[in-house]
Amino acid sequence: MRGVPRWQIYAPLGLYLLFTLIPFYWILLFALRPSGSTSLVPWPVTFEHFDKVWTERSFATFFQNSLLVGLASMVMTTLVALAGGYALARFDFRIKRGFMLALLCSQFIPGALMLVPLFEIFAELQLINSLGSVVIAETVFQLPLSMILLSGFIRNVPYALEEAAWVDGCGRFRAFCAVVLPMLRPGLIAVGSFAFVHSWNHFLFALMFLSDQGKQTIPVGLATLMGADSVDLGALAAGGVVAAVPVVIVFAFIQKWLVTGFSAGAVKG
Amino acid sequence: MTIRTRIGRGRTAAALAVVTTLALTATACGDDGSGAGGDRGSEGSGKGEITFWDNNTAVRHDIWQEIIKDFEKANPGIEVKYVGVPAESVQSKYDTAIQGGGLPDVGGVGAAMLAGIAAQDALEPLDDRVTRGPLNDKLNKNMVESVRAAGGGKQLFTVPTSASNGVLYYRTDLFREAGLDAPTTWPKFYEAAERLTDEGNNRFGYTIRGGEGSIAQALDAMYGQSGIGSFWDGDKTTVNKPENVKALEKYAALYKKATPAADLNNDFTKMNAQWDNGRIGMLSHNLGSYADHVKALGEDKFRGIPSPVVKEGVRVQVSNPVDGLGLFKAGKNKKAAWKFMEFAASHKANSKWNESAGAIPANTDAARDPWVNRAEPTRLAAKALNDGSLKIVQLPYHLPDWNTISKADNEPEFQKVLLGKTSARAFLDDLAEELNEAQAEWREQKG
Repeated sequence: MRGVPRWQIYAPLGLYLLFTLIPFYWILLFALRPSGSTSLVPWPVTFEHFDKVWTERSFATFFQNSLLVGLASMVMTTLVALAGGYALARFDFRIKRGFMLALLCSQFIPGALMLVPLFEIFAELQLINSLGSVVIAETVFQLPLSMILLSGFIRNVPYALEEAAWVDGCGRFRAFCAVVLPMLRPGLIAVGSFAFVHSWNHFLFALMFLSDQGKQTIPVGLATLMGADSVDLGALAAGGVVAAVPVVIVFAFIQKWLVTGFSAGAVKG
Repeated sequence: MTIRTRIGRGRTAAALAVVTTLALTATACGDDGSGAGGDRGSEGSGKGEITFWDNNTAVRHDIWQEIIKDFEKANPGIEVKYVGVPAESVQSKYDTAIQGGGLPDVGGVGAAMLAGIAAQDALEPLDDRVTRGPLNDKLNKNMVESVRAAGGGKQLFTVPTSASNGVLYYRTDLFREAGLDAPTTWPKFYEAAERLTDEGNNRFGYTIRGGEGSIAQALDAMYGQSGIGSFWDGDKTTVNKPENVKALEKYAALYKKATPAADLNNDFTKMNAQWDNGRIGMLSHNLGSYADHVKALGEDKFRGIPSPVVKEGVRVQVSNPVDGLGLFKAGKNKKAAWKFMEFAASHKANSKWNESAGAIPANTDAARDPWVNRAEPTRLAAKALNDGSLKIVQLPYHLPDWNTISKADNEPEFQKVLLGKTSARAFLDDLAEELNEAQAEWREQKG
């Protein structure tokens, strides 16, 4: 960008950053200032709201549950999407086009529509009130997009590399692990992180399938802080910070691969 | 690159993987909850575990823990599993459980959602249990009638626990500075709204609710001014009577003249936060937010009074939903569940709960407790309820469509009224048509 004055780059970026960060500042402000304070700076700092949500309102448990659901959904989604994406990329079968179309169409079905059937299925499987139900539902709903994304990545890996590995004596699985998998790192990170963040933030399934206080997740916990007539804004903001931290950390570490991942996967369908 | 080899083996492997995954996940622990809406349940032994869903857990969580502890101490052998459900989602949680199973034994059911749940045959009628037990003649008659009407008019499906009446909160410091009288009449209310507004300095006389929940508040202001004391005239609604149209025109005209422009999307959270943190003269809400205002402003800077009077000694307010506890038919231990409901509605527990919530107790003994007179808004609301000056316009909670009519269908329409894109008359005529149709349909179904 030679010849462009620096301020023309930094001024709009700064404005955008300000616009993005103000809501976060507001959350931090409410979370850190004492109840009843109208100060625009969080001073004196208090951690009473964090203490309240973490201990009294069981956010420690919700956090643990969300982490379990997020990690399990991430692993299951990535593994199954990897297998499905490989099949879509490397095999030809009669209903492939229809299958791809069905995968895409499934994205238009809102989760709420499937709630009662899913509830009944999980009840039959004795999975209501188990984190397993949320993990399965999250995985199932995230699989179509993840499979399509990963199939794009796998197509971009030259097939000749796999064939060379076969010639050297590898079976399909070993060739896949030794040759293809290492080249899929950006895609796996993109799909995995997307699955984690989506599960971490998702509210509906956890609300409906879990009816035990000790098994609820962070988004449900946050919603329970909002009453019909009254809201403890300090506690809600502190809960919001607790909920945001893992997502911010995940994105801070993986943003480089995430951008590469999504753009690479989008090159070829 | 395409390959047709090994597909058969691949399919077998895929099928095996699916079966294994399902088998592994199915081994995870869990219970199937109790039954769905159609299940009859059973009385049970009167001992064991019961599940209680709290429909408004945010600020009630701690007090319920205390009551449950007291109950378990008084009833050894019964354990109450508390589940806090977010207030916003409780209706959908009940609806899903009615269809799919997993209903609790006892649940908090407000009058606004009672019709829908009762219509799905999920709740046990409670008339006999109430009259045979210690709650007989101990529950506020108006609240009992209110929940009976909401449940269809014949049977009692919830034990009322509290009412959270409408309150007009005003900033005494701002009123004093401006030399204004308390907004006890509508002319005083409008005068204060106008005189306290100084838009350039971000000061406003009133904050209007333009977003979620706007209809009930608009109806409250409308009937409060018109003085019409009933929602129905036979089977036709009174919402679009000329007096109401005039009142709504005047009320909606406050928007942007005496209120912030952002009020268009105000739900109660934003409205209250705005009032607690800014310099706004008046706010209409209910007793439920009193504690938040005390926390934000302190007790000296504001007062909470009943709505302004139409004329000396005559005040009209629309009903606020009466909260209550329902016993679910599908419960497997109704005997123990009923014991818990009786305990929660008893003098001591009901008093404790309502003192914490700042609401009016349904238990008549609890309503006479000294704390009711200590919190001014509760005392004034209770006094207005009991001194004969207040006419309550019962909103049509009995209509299963009421929530849809008053929220999804008409909140956006009310925003158009505020923006001047539609007239108050057109809005109320459409609302009346919808209500009359819903009432006719309800009559037909009722037979």
